[in-house]
Formats: sequence, structure tokens, C-alpha cells
Amino acid sequence: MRNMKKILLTLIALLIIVITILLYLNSTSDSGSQFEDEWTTFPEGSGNIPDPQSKTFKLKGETGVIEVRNFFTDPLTRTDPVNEGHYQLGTYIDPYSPDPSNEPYYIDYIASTQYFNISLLAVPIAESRREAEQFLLTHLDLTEDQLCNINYRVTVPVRISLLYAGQSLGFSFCPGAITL
Amino acid sequence: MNVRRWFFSGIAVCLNIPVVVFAQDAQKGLVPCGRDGQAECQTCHVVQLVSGVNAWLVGILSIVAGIMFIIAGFKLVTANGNPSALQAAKGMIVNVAIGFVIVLAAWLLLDLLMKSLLSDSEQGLGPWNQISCVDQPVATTTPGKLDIYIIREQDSSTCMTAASCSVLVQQCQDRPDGVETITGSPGNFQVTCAYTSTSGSGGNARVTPGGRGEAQCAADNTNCSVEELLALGLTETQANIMSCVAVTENSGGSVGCSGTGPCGTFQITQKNWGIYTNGSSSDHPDCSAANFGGSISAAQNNGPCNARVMTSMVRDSGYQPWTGANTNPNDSVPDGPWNPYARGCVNTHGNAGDPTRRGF
Repeated sequence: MRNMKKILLTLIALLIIVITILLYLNSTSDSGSQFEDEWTTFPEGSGNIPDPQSKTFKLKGETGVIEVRNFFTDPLTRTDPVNEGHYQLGTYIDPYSPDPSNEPYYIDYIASTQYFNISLLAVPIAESRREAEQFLLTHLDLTEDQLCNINYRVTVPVRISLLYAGQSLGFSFCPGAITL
Repeated sequence: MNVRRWFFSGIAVCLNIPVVVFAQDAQKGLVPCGRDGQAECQTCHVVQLVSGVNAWLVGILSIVAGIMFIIAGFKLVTANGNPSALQAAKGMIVNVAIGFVIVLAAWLLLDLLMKSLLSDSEQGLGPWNQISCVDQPVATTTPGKLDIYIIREQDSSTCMTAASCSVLVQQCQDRPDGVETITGSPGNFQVTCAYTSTSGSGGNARVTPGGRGEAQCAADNTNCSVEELLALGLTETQANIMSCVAVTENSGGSVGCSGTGPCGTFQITQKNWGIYTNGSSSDHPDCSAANFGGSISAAQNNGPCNARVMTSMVRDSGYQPWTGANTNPNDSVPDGPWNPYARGCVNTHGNAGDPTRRGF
């Protein structure tokens, strides 16, 4: 009888240990999100800057990951000299100059968050938006659907357009875009 | 000696478990849904109920086991050397211990079983003895191509000269079916633009319909996201308003001057910049032109500096006059003409219950 009790106790203790180990393993394997798993596949480089040898790299999109051309090697991608980790794509506005820009748009890429902030700087702004879209489609080598999925905003300052300032315009071909 | 260990350990465990179990239940109740401030009941809450009852029973049984240990201990002490009484007391302690371990094992197994039934690929089994219910998806209609609002809208803007009015006229004509009407006289013209608004009704969270002092910087825009501005010390209301103002001022970008001196994310003038950056006793001497190769524009166009100077200005002066929005109704100074949408940002993101609309 005493042996039976010992065997029973030992079995229950073993069961508890096994279940605890299983629970622990399950919680650690599920702790990382799907996105983090994909993030680890990014090419080697400095932070979110891809290796110069890479022809493409991966951007986090609104849904999933998008593979884009390595635009850091593009001559039209320039480092913002006064904002570390920021890059100007396509056009360039000299931050040392107090003069207003004559460029049609300004794309501020923030590497740490992989975010594209697109300002339209010339009227008609519909044309400026079209130019910015064309630049990104070509130089990031994306389709329109893929471009809609990048992490971005298109807006216009009040000094350029009283009519559209304060609105998030979107790319013209994306769902919910403002018609200009 | 061995029996004493069992005895005291058993009492300690049995009396501690109910504290944990009932502390949890006291916060949410056995049925954690359907009351004021709680989510609507769903199937998952049935499992939560079973889990709660299970935990409650374990708590009760722990107390019973504790009492049984005490009774056994009492019998042990009062056995007075009687071998059969001693043996009976020892047997009772061992039996209670075995029974209690079985109760705990059942608790564990039941928890595991219920979690296995509920778990999904996102959250796994989750924390021990906690069943998390999430809101069930609600059916919504996603607008398709046919869900486009076509509305005739009208805007009015003021201008002083023919040149400045022609810009407004051009902007009006650029809009779909835009028809402008000009009234007033030199120095105070009014351009009214009627146009057709054809915007989708949603489906893209990054597009804010309506606009006019509503859109804020995106969460990933480190120049002016609400989170970044909160980190600089603005209040929640201030951060919400200023993130919106940044969109109207410079589209949320860090670089850009307007030609009359204002530059950067918040379009701060050179005069104001000097007040807050010149001299070692100023708020932000490290943002002076001297630290940017002698270029005040470069200093203004530095995103972190621009946001910090803005924070000081908001703290000292609110919005007027630098953004153009006069928020104090007792102040005779009208809204500034340079950013009419700053007022929109205050109205949209400010404290609606504050009659001064200061939001500060």
C-alpha cells in the first residue's frame, strides 16, 4: 500500500514536471511575432541600411514585407546632412539654404522606421504627386499595389495649397486616395 | 521529523494558494463579462467561467486541505505516544498531501486542456491560469469602387492682391469641376471655390478624409509623431494638436523653408529660433546656428532641434502668434493668417470641454 502511494506520488510529480516543461517550450516558441521572424531575414548592414552589395532589401509594409530595389545605392538617394538616419529620395532640398524649394516634391525616408514622408511642394499638386509616385515606382521597382503597401504619407503644406493642406492625400491609385 | 516537514509544508502551501486564487477572482468575478464597463459575453467567457470555477474550487479545497492538516497535526500532538493514533495521524497527513497534489495536477491539466482548445497561432497557450478572451471580429463592409462619395463642396479663402488671389483661383480650377467666385475689394478679396469631392470612404488608414486640421503625423514619422512629441514633454493634448500642426506646416517633413524665414517641421521663424537657441542660458543652445556650421537654416531644419524649440514655444506661448491660431477668446488678437488650419487642429484635437479651446 505504501509502495503504491510512493509510485502514485512519483508519477504525479513526473507528470507535473513534463507538463511544466511543455508549457514553457510552447510559450517561448510562440513569443515572437511572425513579423519578427521575417525581420531576422533582412540582409546584413548597418541598422536598417542594407549592405551596399545587396541589389534588393526588405521593407516592412502595412501588411507583410515588401522586397524593394536597394535605393541606397541609387544616385538620386542622398543623405540628409542635418538629420541623421534620414534620406532624401528623388529631389534634394539643401537644409543649409533658407530659400524655398523649387522641387515638385520632397521624399523624406526615415531609415529607423522605414517610413516615407512625401511632401508635395508645387502646384498643380496632382502633377507633383504623379511625379513622386513615378519616382518611387521606378526606383523602388514596385507595382502600384506594392507601393500602396509601403509605410508612407502624402501631404501638402499650407503654404503650397490652402485647399489640400491638413489632409492625408495618399497615392492616386491607392484605396481611399483623395482625388486632386 | 519527516511527518513534521509534510505537516508544516502542507499548511503553508494550502493557506497560500487561496490568497492567489481569490485575489484574481476578486478583480474580475467568476463571469467577467456583461456588466458595466465589461465586454459583451461570448463563448470564450464560458471557458473563462469554467477556469474561474476551477480556480475557486482549488482555493476552497486548499482551505479544506489546510484544515485537514491542522486536524492531523492536532491528532499527532494529542496521540500521547499511542502507536495506532500516531499511525492514523501520519496516514491522514500523507493522504491529504496526496489528495492535494492530485487537485493541483487536475488544475494544471484542466487549464492546459482549456488553453489547448482556445489557443491560436498568435498568442499560444499564454500565461498560467489566465484565459484571455479577445473581441470577436465584427462583420463590416469594405467599400469597393462603387462606394465613392460624390459631394459638391465649397471653400472660401481670403487674399489681398491679384497675384495671391490668382494662386487660389488656380488651385480651385485644379480641383474637380472647380468653379471660383471672387468677391470683395483690394486688400480683402474672398475667393469661394465650389468643387466636386470624390473621395473613397475608407479602406486605407493612412488617408484621412475630411482633412483641414485633422491629419496627424504618422506613427513612424519620427519628426512629429504624437509619441515623439509626448517624449519631448508635451501633454497628450498638446502632442495631438502639434502633430496635426506639423502636417499643415511642413507636411511632417524635417527640411523645408517657406521663404520668409520659417523653416523645419514646425516652420519656426529665425527670430523665435534665436530666442530659444542663442546664448548658453537659452533653452536649447546646442541647436544654435553655431553648432550647424553657422547656418541658422540648417539648425532649423534639424528635426529633433525643431521639435524641441517648438516644445519650449508651446510651453511659453501656446499657439499664438506663431502657428496662427489664437485660442484665447478673451484675447483681441485674431487668428493669424499664415496657417488657418492650426485652429482646425486645435478644434479637432484639443480638449473639447475646455471653453477656451486652449487644450493646455
